[in-house]
Amino acid sequence: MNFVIEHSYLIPLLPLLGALAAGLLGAKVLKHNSHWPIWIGVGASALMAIVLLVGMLTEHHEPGRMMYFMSHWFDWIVAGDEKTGIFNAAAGAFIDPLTAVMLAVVCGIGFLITVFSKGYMHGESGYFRFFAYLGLFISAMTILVMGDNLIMLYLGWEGVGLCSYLLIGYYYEKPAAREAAKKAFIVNRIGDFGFALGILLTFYCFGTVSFFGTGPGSNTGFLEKALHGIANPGTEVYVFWIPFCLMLGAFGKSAQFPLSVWLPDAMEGPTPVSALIHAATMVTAGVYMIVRLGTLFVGNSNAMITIAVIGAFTAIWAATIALRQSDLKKVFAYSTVSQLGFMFVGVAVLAPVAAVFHLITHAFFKALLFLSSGVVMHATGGELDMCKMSGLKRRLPKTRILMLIGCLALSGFPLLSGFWSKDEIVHAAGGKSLVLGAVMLFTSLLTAYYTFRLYFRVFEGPEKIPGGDHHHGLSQGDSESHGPAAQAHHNPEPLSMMLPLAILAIGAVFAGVINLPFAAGVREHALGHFLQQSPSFAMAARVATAKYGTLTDTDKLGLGQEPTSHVVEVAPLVIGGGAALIGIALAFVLHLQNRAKADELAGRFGSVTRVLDAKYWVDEIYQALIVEPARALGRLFWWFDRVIVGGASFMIGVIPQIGGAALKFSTQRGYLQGYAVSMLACLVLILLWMFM
Amino acid sequence: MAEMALLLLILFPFAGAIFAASMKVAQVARVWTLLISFLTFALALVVAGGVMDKSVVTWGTTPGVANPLAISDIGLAARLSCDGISIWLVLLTTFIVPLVVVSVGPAINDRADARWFYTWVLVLLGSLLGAFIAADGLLFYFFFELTLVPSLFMIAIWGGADRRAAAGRFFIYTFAGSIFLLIGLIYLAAQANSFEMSRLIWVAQNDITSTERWWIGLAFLVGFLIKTPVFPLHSWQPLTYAESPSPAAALIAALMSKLGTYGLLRLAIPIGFVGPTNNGAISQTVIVLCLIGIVYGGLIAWVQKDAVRLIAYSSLSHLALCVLAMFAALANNASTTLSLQGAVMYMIAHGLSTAALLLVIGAIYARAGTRNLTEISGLFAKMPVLSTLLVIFTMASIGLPITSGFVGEILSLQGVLNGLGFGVAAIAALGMILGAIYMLHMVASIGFGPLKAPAGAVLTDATDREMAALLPLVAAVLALGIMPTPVLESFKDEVAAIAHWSPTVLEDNRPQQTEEPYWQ
Repeated sequence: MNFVIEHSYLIPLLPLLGALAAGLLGAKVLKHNSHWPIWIGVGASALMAIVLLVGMLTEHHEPGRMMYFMSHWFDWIVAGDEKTGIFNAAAGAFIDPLTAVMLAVVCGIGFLITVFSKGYMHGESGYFRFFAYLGLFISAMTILVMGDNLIMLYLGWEGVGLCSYLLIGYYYEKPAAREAAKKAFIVNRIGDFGFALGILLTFYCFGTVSFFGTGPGSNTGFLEKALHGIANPGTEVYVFWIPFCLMLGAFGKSAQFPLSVWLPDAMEGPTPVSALIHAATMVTAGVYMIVRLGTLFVGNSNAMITIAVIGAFTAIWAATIALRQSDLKKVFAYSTVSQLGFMFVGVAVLAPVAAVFHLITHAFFKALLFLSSGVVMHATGGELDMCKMSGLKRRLPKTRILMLIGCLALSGFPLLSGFWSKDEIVHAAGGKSLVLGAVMLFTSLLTAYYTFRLYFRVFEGPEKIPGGDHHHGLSQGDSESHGPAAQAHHNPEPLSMMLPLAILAIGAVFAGVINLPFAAGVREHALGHFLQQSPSFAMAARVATAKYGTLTDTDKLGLGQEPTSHVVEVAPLVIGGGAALIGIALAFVLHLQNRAKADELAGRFGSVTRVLDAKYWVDEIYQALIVEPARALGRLFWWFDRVIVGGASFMIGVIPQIGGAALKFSTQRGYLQGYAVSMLACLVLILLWMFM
Repeated sequence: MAEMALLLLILFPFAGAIFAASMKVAQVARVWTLLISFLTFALALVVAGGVMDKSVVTWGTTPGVANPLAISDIGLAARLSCDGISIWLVLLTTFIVPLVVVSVGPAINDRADARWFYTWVLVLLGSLLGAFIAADGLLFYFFFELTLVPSLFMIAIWGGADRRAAAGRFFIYTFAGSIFLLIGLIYLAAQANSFEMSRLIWVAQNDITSTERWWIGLAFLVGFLIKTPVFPLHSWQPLTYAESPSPAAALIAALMSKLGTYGLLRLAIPIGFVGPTNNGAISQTVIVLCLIGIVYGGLIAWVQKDAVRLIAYSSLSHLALCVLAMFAALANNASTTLSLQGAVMYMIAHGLSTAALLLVIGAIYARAGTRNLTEISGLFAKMPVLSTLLVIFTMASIGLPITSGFVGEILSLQGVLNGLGFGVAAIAALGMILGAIYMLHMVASIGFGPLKAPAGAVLTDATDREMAALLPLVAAVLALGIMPTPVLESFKDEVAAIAHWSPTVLEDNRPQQTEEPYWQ
């Protein structure tokens, strides 16, 4: 572990070097071996992340002691002077239990997905490009979770955004992919606008952008300054607004309403990308940010309420849209938006451990679901419309099992990972507000329903395999992808793709073990006890305790509180599991037993289904209310620029031209060189005048 | 050594230009120009070494020693000085010019008059360097104006279809602006009995009435705001960029616009806007104009069809933030050093990314015959390397971290927030969103989507010549983005001194009354 901490820079550096190797050598030298540098780089980082996590887990610790390691790589941006404050953004890592957990998720799942991608992307013309972007992404994501200041966080943040842009636009010839990539970047940029303002305000108020400065206890980081209420004189009023600015960034990256519109479109990217970036890792960066900076947020109840409302609204809103989607990846995309809403609710109701717990379990089962959809795509020649397929279980027996596991975990089926993590959030939300709890519970029911609607439609029932002639996301054109003939001979479930899926499936089933409410092999609330040692959690807990007295007892594990009792509350588990079972049963009746009935029901509530099918017209509303008016304004300004501003300057130009015309007569030249001559002549005249 | 190099920095390009003009074979002139510009870069490095040692390198300013290149009757002398700010502009200029020379394509090379193009490039190089290292107001003005001549010829001879109109408007507009500058300069020099910049500044801050200072400050300001340009004084810019041949466009956009921002920082701000009578109303107006410019330029860039016009309006938007950061540095309780460091970094970053973008677009234009975003798309399929470079420079332009653009942008915005408050910073930060919108619109149109290009276009990927021009720019953009601290450190004290008003510190610069006044 000491090696990892001493050489922590290797964790982002190795995937970056892999990406450079694949990017520079891929086209000519490596070709279809371009995955090797990425496998090696990401694999080494994953190994380091696991060593780090295990090392920190086995480290002896006393309760109440914070565990962290700091590592200064080099001075990145240093500006300003002593008098008005030095802006110092070091390139360095702050490694605590939160970072260790995030690194393990990012590198671990990242590695599994790079392994899967070899088989999945085989034969693509942009094979090396894909792996180069993937390596770059992992590198940026590790910087995001390791950085010890806001600027490093921002670097990782923008880096993953760039990779997301490049990977969504991977099939660049497709106009839809091009537009989706652009949309993702720009919508994220709107969030980053808030993030950047939050950074600027933080420096303005606290005179530093470093989380913990020279270390917790030194009072030099802004989190600790916020904890003790030490802001620059006259800036106190702005401290209130910092969380609001930052949360805009989090909502952009984590696709929360109203910045959620980019994520469903992002499914234009290759499926491993959807699994890695748009489900398991990047989109959870917003949750990570708020947990990391909890000290700023927790004391600001307005900010916390805003996050809770946005999170809960996004969760149920996206879940309702998912009810009617027929594209597999779109269902999972809206599901991701919805599940991220759960995580935000968890953070907002002072249950950050539950949020991180759900982040981890979600990473497993959602990656599994996306990759399984990828296998389906492979087998159906790029078809993803669940109306056009049915009963794939005979063609894809292994995938069916894996998909079933993923669906059960996502639904919150009792004893699987999603059950435990989701229940903690719902429970904590209910403890804060019954309405909030009820909304989250109902969303769980919807989740189970739409998940199994998909499962029953695709894998069960009469067999119907669409005969597509395409590959992956390309609906037209790519001549280099393998055609239907080659497809038929391929084993649709090769080992290199099944093995990572199997590991993810094991995680999807058992990941709940890390934070069970009772001791089973490991101690109860193991994750909570581990994360408690993170300075971010410890400081946020102190703010919360000061602000709210004792914490709600539903959050036994959250902000550094030891559980008051070791009695497992069974009721919330039963209610949560019940909701999942009802949802699954409904889906069973409507989408396996009697599909005609489902269609008839949809027809009866025509107006509702129309609204859901149109996804509440959010895209159209943005187009009409924001994009078009802004473009119209641009056109108006352009007209103004040519006619009014340009016209006025023309008038300025006319006056010397009249003078020049007289000169032209005398010199008979009229070449533009004349102006240069006259300039020099004027200069000489003026100098003479001065001299006289 | 470094002192001599400073003088050679100006003489060398001009001498080279004379020879280049006499070379009949274009290829010879090209190699010669390349050689001269590389040697100038080497000279700049020598000067940079001197600046690192002694913080400022001067030539011809030693008191008591007669300046060998002086017209003492009018107080004009070849006083040269290069400090931490100047050196970066000198390095930027000498770094970009050779790359631009490398990038000159057959459109110019194959013409009979190609040697004249190279001649004018060297003249432009010399006059830009002269302006950046002049320590004498009149000398500065001379070079400042001299840059117009080579750019005028480059536009008028090698430009696009509408080149004559563009050249005319460019010349008249920017020349009209500098008239104000000249008037202000002469009036101030009359008070100071000298054209030496430090004296001009001292006199403006201490020896003239606030009314005089108001007018002089305004005169300097207008001259430089036109050159930058800042809304609403920019209407020469889109046409000029669009009609210039792409090497000239890169030089004008990347380097000549820096004359405006450099002049603001070096002359206009200390002369008009520092100290007790600091012309607050004009500053407020400039701040408002910059804020308008950021949004206005960004929105117009979004609806452009010509990629080069898009870049022109993006410059309008970007440089407004640079100027805004300068004026934010003058506010009460501002983080002056931080703000000005951001502004200077922004100048360098903008120079690099704009030159690079215009060269890439020029390369595409040379192949496709059009820059109209509606007529080309999906070029990634045919030219992946060039398209990748376009994406990289776009990211530098919109300020992604680890590019030079990010450092300039975040520090400028921080300066704006600290000096002018949250509201102003929030409007200025809108440029971040708009920048992503129009730049990605351009990249998406050119690079991605189904392949489309005019018939007959030969869409080959980047040539070795183009790679040789563009890869150093990638390296520079990343180097400044990853290691900006030594750069920021190198002009920290200089920028602090610019905005610092203290009569006692500057007492040394009081005009020596014992000297024979020449103004009688």
